[in-house]
Amino acid sequence: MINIVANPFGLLLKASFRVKVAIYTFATTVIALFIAAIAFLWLLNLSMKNIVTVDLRGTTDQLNTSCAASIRFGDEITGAEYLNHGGNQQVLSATLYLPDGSLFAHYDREEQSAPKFPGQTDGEVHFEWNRASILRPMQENGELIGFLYMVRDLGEIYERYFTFAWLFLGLLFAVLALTLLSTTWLHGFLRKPIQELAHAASKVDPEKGYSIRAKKVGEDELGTLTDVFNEMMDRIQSHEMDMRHSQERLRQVINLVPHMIFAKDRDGRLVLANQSMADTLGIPVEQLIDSTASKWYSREEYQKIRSHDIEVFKTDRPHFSEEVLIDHEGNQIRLQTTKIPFVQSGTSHNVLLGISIDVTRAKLAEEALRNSNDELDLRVKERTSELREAVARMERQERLALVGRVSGNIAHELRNPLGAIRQSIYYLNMIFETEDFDVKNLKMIRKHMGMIESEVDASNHVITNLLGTTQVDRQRKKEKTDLSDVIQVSVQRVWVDEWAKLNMDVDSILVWGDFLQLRQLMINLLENAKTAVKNQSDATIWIDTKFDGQSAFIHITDNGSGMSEETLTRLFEPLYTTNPQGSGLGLSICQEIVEERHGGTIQFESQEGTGTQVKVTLPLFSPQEERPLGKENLHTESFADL
Amino acid sequence: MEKKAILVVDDHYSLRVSLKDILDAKGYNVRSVSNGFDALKECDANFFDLVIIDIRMPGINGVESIRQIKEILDYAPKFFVVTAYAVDELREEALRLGVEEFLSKPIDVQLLIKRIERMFSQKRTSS
Repeated sequence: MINIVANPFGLLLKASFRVKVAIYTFATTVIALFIAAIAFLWLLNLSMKNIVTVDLRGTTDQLNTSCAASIRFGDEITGAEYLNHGGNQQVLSATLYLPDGSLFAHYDREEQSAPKFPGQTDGEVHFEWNRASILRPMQENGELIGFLYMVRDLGEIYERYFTFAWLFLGLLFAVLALTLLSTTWLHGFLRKPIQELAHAASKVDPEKGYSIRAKKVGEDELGTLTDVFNEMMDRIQSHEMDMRHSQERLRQVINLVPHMIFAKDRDGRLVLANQSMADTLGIPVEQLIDSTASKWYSREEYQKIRSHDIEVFKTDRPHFSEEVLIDHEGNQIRLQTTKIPFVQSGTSHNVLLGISIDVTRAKLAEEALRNSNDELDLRVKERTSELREAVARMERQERLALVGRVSGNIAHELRNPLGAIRQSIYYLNMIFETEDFDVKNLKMIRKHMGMIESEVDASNHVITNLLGTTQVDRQRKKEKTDLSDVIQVSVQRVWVDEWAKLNMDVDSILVWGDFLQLRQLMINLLENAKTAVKNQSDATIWIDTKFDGQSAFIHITDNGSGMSEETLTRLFEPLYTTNPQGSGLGLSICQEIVEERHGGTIQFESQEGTGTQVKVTLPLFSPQEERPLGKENLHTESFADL
Repeated sequence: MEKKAILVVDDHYSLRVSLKDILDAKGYNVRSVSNGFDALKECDANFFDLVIIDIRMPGINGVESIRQIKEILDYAPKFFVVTAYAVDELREEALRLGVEEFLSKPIDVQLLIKRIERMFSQKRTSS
């Protein structure tokens, strides 16, 4: 207020448009009138002076002639009369002076005494404040006879001025009235559209939208302005609509997201929250805005979250964390939260945009999975051990069955010769019981005795064979033995070439060993190779021997069916066999012969469908180890055994 | 009285021969062969009252021989089956085919003779 009072322009600026227009118009008109009046007055003044001058000159010219005579004749009274009648009403005084300046005659309208000789003899009219005067020399025949001095008042001029002043005043009022009238009229023109605009503009409310339009009045600039305003409003409205739509869409989108989306300011107050957050917390979105998260988290958790927020604002980098939240139903929810620093568009306000994903289920599932994995592990272990037991049981049963089968076979093998022996004895008894004992009977007795003997031998052979395959006689002595002999004998015994092509690359190598046991070894290995290549189209068995400074090497290779991993690992296991006719003892005997009895090694390499290679290493014969030979020739014995 | 004819079928030589000698001595007309194929031929060529056959033989086994013999012949000899095992799937099959007796190895000859005699005497009375 004080300011406004102190500054009248300020007051003026605050005044209404109408007052402003009135003041401006009025002031302009008054100033124009004043200028016109001054000019007029100046012109009036000039013309009045001219009139007065002409009047004074004319009057004095008239008196000059008439008064000259009075001076010449020295007739003062006549002169005064001339002066009295010769002038007009405006003449204040007329005075005649003699050339020396002494008074001759005088007339004064108001009966005043004659003025002193003025002294100015230029004959010009002199204007004073309210009168004009002239001093004219009077001449007669070129001789100065006196002076005529006349003073005239300017009353009628002032009267005119006065009239003019009234006129001016009247004009001024008229102008004022006209101004008021015109401003009112002008106001009518200007006010309506402007008021419309102002009204429309004042009604614009961002909350209620931008549907207000100003009514157009006239097609002038204000009309254009109204159009422009309305167009502007159209644009604002459409932008507003667009913005509302995009905001709506944005809100829909963030509300569709099943994760909690929010934005927080530096103080930790929410400036944005989506429906998922509201649903989780059981608080409407509107109520969430401007509140802090302190209510929904434990004190400890909230402090942790705040420290994360501050870190994000400080470092201006995203932050990832896990949080525990209590929802409106009191459930504990585990959240995986990502916080991103974010500058709100159009402002320099930093906010923090956050997305919290509910990982409770995933976590629970993870834990459950871990638990079930543990349980599964346990069960697998249990099952595995059960299975192992079952397998072991089965193996035991299988071995028992095998033992049964083996012993069944042995029994069968023995029953035939034993049965034959029994029958022959029965027959012999029958013969001996008969009375007629003749040559024919003797022949039959001999025949049956021979049969008994041969069956006894057969039984013995069965037992010997069995011993040969199941036992390695540890008492036997080692001696200088030629591997090529061993191999030759074994190959003949096994009849390898019955089923396979035989490729031999065998040198005479002396080893320190037991011929019979080595023969058994070779027979077993060759039998296996033969079985492996059975029914193979290009079945081949290779036997190679080599030696170095210390050892002899025998390689038996076949291109047969090969062995599985499992078979390879269980090769030497007693009673383990893949051959239905096998005893499962062959390779365990081989192993014993090579490793236990001869200090060598035996190794198998095999691939299913490709074949098998057996590598046997035996120590070479060295003269230091030679023992004195016994009487018996082991080679011969071995042949006899066959 | 005509001699009863018996065929002994066994792959084991001594068993076959000793049994033939015993039954010969007992007064039967005995022939012996070493396998099922020969048994079939023998049965086709001659008449037999009884066939004693080992159940387990290489080639055609005892049961198969019995089936074929029964199929081909226009007469029906009796069959005694010799088996080494108490439990045997061939034994079951033989049972289905219809055989007279099962004999365990080694054969109890005395028992065998008793059974042969009983069978033939029964046959005689029944006929």
